[in-house]
Amino acid sequence: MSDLPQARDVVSAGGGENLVEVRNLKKYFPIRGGFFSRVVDHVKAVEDVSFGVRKGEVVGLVGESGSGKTTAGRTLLRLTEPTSGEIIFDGVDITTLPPDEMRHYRKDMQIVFQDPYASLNPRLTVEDTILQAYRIHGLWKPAERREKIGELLRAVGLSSHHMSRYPHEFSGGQRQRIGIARALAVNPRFILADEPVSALDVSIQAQVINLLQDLKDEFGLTLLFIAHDLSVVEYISDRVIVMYLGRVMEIAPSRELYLNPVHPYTEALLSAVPIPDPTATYERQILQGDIPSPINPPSGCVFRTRCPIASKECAEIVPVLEEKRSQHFAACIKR
Amino acid sequence: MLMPYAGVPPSPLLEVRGLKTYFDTDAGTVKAVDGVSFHIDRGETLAVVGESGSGKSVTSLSVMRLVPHPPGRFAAGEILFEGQDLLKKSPSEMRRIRGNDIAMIFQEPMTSLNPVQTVGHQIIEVVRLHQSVSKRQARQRAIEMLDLVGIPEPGKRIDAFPHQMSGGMRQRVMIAMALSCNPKLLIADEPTTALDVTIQAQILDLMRRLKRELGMAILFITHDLGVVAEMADRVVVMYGGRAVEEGSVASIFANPRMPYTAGLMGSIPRVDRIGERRERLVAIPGNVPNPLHLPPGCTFNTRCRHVRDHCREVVPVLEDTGDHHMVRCVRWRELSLKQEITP
Repeated sequence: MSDLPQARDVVSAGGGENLVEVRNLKKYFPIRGGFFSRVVDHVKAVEDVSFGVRKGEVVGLVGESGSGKTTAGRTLLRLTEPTSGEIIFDGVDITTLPPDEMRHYRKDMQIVFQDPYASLNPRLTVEDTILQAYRIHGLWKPAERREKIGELLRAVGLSSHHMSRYPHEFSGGQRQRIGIARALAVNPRFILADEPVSALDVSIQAQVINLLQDLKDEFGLTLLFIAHDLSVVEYISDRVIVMYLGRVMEIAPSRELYLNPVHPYTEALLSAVPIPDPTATYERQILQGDIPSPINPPSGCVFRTRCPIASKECAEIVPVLEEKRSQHFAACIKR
Repeated sequence: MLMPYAGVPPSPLLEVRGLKTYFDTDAGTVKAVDGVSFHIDRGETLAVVGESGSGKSVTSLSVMRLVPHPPGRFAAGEILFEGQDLLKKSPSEMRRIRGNDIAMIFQEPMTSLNPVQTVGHQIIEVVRLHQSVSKRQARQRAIEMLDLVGIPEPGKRIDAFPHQMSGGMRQRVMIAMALSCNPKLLIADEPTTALDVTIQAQILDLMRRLKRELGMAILFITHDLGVVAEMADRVVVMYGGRAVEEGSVASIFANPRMPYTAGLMGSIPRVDRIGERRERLVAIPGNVPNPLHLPPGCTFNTRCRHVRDHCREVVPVLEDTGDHHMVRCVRWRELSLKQEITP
């Protein structure tokens, strides 16, 4: 915990200095149809999302499909442009920076993708893949580059003889290590890991999670870890953000969130995780119905259509994130 | 579980004996399933757990005789369903058994439904294929089934196309279709893997309820030990084409005896043990071996932290450790794996 005075604002929750912040981020995707492909409606993928990631912190971003977690992450990196809102990186508003100025920040903000099969160029060797990153950003003298690649590969648990191989020669877990090496190659200050272990086998998942934790300590990384798997997020994150239908439902320090969830959605989400213990006795709370369409989200609280404690007011008031306990924010008028 | 009749040992519903399913490829023979034996009693849920390449899905496809030939072939073994060897059945006999006695649901409900026909049409087709009923009766049956699997307004939804439904609803349709002819055995191959966790909870709950109400046996293929703990009576753990451990769900979780099983348990972060968790996950080192070049001896020997020279030479047999708990490891007597995975 930092010794700075406690901020009331969600964005500065967690104390300390934010490396990345988003304020009132919105991302709408137009739906075209009818004559002349007019915009007939919008998919409201991210609706008024604010949070901060402080230096050296790992923040988990969880949600089910359609929650907007991936869109929020990609918008934060400006891989898609926000509809409105602000993105602040290291104190600089990068929301509207032109591409040539943005390039400077691209080096500092890297991404690790979910699918290590699709995110590596099959025609490039590992060496060429990483060399590309070095060339674009003018890193290292050409004579040093091979050696640096070797060091990098060792850091992610591969060895320098892997350099001349192509992606198809590796297993899924190894490919994900290459993806991580590529992200690390440019010495980024911030990494967005978008479901980096979801496509991997359980025993390989653990390897990659352990690796990310080691690298975080070694390189002092700041990480936003997007996942749908609550147990993985808990394991790696200092704080966790729970999203549902484009909005943030709850933000809290990791352990606090899992031990004392405030939002009924978080509660249901935690209770839905199958526990690998046949002797476990617990009340399972099963949410009814499906996630509503993000084209036409419910009025008021977006979770109310599936919420076990919803009442009439929930349809009228859009709940804001309030600090319900120390550093623990939730958007619910009933709790 | 059904109670056995006093004195008479109940014959299992399904018994797989020494099954070998091989694939002949240009690069060589892939021994996807290499001598697997297990049984399922009536009304019982058996989970087959394993990672990619373990042979769990090929095992389930073998039971349905859905392994494409070539390149696939049954090199040895028997699959006895109610005492009759399915491997000896003609294609037309198999078609009668599939859907009628044994039904299957898959991981991806979108690709297993026909996108250009209504869900009702697809269920009606199954019903009419196996039962001599009129179109009207079949439609009635389809509506009943949709209602049974918890689809709201089944009378309306029966005319919906798959793309008009969510992933969870599509999986409910698949289950409705699979159960429409009252099968004795339902094979579920990773039925909730593609679903969100709150929807997975709904589907698992539904499957438990249907099993209770309809009494079918379930062969549940999964990689998720959480799902196993919740659904199964017994467990078979597969690795490298072989069953490496088998036992009751209680016994396997309380006392894993195969290093691979213990490794799997150590690999998963636990939301139920937040206060007591360890700093690092106990990952299994290395990668799943290439099925074309499985190591000699125990197939897990390349990743096992307890490996001895002996393990690289001799294929261990599946030994009964007592209590019908079987393990394929020569060192099971001396290892205490439980303490490795408890924080």
